Amino acid sequence: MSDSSNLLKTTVNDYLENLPESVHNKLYQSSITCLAIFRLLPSLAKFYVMSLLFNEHSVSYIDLTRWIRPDNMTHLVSSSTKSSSSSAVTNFPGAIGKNKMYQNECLKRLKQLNLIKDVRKQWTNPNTGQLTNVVVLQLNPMFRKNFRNALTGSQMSNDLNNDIEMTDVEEVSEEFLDRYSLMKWENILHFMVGSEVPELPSIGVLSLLRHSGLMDIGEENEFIATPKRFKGDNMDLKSMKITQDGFQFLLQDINAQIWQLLLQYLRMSEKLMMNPVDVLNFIFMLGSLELGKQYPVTLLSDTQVIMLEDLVDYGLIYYPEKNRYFYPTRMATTLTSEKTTFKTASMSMNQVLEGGPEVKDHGSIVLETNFKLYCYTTSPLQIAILNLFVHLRTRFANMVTGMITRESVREALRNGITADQIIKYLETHAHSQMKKLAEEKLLKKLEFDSNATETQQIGSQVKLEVIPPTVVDQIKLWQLEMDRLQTFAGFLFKDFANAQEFEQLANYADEVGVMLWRDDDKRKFFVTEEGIGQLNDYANRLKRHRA
Amino acid sequence: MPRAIKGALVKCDPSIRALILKIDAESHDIVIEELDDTHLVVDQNRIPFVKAELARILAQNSYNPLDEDEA
Amino acid sequence: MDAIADRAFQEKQHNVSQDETPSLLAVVIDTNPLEWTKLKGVICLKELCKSVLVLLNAHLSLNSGNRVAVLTSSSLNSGPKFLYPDPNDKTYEKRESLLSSDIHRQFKFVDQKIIQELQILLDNEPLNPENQELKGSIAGAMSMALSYINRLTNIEPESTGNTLRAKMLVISISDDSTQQYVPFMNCIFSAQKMKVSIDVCKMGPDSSFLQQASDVTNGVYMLIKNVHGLIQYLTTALFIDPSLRPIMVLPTNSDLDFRASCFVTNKVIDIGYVCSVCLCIFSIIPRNNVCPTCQSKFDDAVVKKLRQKPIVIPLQKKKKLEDGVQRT
Repeated sequence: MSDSSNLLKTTVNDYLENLPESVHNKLYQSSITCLAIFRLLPSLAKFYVMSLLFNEHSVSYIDLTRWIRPDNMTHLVSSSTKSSSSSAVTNFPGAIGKNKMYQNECLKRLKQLNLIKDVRKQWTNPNTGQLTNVVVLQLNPMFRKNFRNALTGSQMSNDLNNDIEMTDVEEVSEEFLDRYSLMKWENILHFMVGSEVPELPSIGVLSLLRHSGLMDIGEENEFIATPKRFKGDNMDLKSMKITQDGFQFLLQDINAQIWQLLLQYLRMSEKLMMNPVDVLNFIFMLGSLELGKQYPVTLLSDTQVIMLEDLVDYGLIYYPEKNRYFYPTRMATTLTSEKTTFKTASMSMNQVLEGGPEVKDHGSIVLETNFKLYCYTTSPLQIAILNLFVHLRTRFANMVTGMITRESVREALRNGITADQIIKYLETHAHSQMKKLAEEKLLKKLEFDSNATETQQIGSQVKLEVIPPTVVDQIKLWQLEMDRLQTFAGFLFKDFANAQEFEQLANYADEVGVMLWRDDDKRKFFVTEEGIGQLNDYANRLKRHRA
Repeated sequence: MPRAIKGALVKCDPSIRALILKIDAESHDIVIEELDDTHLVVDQNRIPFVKAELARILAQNSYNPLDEDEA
Repeated sequence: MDAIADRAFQEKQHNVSQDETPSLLAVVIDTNPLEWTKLKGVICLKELCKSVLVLLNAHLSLNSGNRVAVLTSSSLNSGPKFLYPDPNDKTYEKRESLLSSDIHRQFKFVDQKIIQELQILLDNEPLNPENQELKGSIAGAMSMALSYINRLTNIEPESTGNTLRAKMLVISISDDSTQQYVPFMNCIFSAQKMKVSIDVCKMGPDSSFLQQASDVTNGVYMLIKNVHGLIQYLTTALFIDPSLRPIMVLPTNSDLDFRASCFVTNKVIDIGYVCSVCLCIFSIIPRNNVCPTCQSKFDDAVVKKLRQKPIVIPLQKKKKLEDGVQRT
């Protein structure tokens, strides 16, 4: 589950990192955005930011490096507590340990977000009196100021929260908002999977799905995995098919899905000349609003008002009377939270429909080592998703059972789903009992390991296995089975008169990069289809030269 | 004069190569040339047929628990 | 078969970078009023509280699932007390989860609650402390914190499925009290079992108990001389997240002396007496024949034998042999 939130973070981070510095500085003027961006950083980066935050002077790079434990490469390393990690003894030159790589990655990300700048300063060495060049890191002053204010509470939050106390309009209950948002969201997902939808999503959503590459307008094709069931509407958008990326999207958890769509929206909005700073600020601010409260529209900028209407389509906002108030739904308020316990759409829908007490288990798939699968769910969406790679056999009132078979997995693989996605999905939605058992097993293994041996061997690292390893390995093997054969269209060259002719053509093909296979003894080689034109030209030129 | 033959390069492991040759043994119009242990040149149009045949042969060797239930 | 060896069986390593479990920070503040008066010119409780509040806000800002708990250890009026969350208010924890997305609100909420409770605590202190005994101790507060942590990390996740890690920060200004040795040691061993690391922020005198606590639980011990930089200490050295601990070098400045020392005289000893009940070590047999730690009475006969000074046999003068046989 941490993997999918990691994926979400990388996509959001990629977008943020690609923004120019001026945009970053404007973003950091709002303390809420500062906090939201802070939460998206990896843990070590957060630590570095905190250590620089309250420090009046800038810190040298070496000092920051000293915090990280030098890596244990295959041989034991010096165990002195504060040795600089650059002096770690390694097995082979140029090797960079895991810790150091992690640290480098964190620093790189901080620099790309313009949170940290490195500056070369000349410091006088107190012992020798010499001037040495030292690399020193400084925190972005705008960020520093606003974040400090946020932490020390000295800045009165200038967001919407302070102004809301008027309730002349009846308040909307949380359950209603939940139901509303889920209905909208599941609509979109059902549309993607291809099952019946009571009401098609709006044109804005459809074009967004198309632009993000999750669905595609295709020709009539009998080999599509999910049959279309729309009643003859001519508009192309309404008859889109899901793509490989779309399948990947379906298997992610809801937070990642929302963010992916929001990022796509951001990219589209830039083309529409909407100020990206405003849009980002609004999104982060949404993440900080309180569920169930209404907020007046007057406090938003123009760009943000336009966004409101768009966001209604995704189920993020409930906007009953235009131009007065809006309500954020649970999907909006958990935008910036990392809680992976946020229930999937199907789980919440279940609870809402049953109206019963909160379901105790989050994630409801039980998987046995004999590949039999049992899933406690009644949501048609989850069942449709499971159907993509599981051969479902029986359906009960509160559960479906089936088997993961070679055929079902191959079917999924043919549709573009990868084995990793399937495994991640199973892990995310595993029953809590399975997770508990796996943790207990892991603890036992770790205790046994630490009692038996002192040194840690890299090869035998114990990790948490929620899904039985037999199933995981078998799914990966089935994926490997799929591409035992690789084919490339092109041309085979043979029957060369002498070695020199062969060499000339073959080397030329190599240089141009169209060579696929070559055998110098037999004087044959194979080039791609695109390469034949270039080779022909070259061969003709050679002939003319000789002639 | 060197010749250029149009075809498809097939890269696989030796066991699959042997299977493809076996499929070819019946009709003789699939494999154009054998290159080495892991590469063959095959007629472009016959590739879907080869893949389907290969899948069928390999499926014969794998256990499908559903078969016995449906039987 | 290289393909299988490579791709299929590449183990995905459990990366620190992907560890996003929320954590619970429990802060135990030593509010021994007698000790605080000793630090009068250096730092006052208000200053400390301000720094602690900033630390709490920083902890909450790390992760939306992070939580905090604050306890005070002792006062003349009552023993250890929870400042936050208020044990009497059952709705708090529910409200916390609602507020977690709204960061400013959450900060305000937590901060105000703590200040309120602290004010109540201080208001209830008697003005004339002459005959009052100090109630409560650090060990007591630590056990309360540990049981809260246990509830949140072990018992609740079974029903809701949220895993939580925990760490504890002890802010202490007093010296060690040998009376508290056994309960204190029990606390740190249970913290070790629960994998809760204990960080210590020490002002005033050094304390070997707390040094041991941080050593055993993989925590950080900092003896702070310059209290004006308190916020910095709190937000850097004492702020290391449980998920980061495996890869960080801990900036502990403790040098623990692991040699045995007598409980009564505090001298390092090599040979001494041991109480057979609680195993504490003495260099001299304590008066009253009672063990100071466990109050168990030693057997009189055995003590008498041990106390007996060795009998010195008078030296028999041997005449020196010089050219002849001497007579005694």
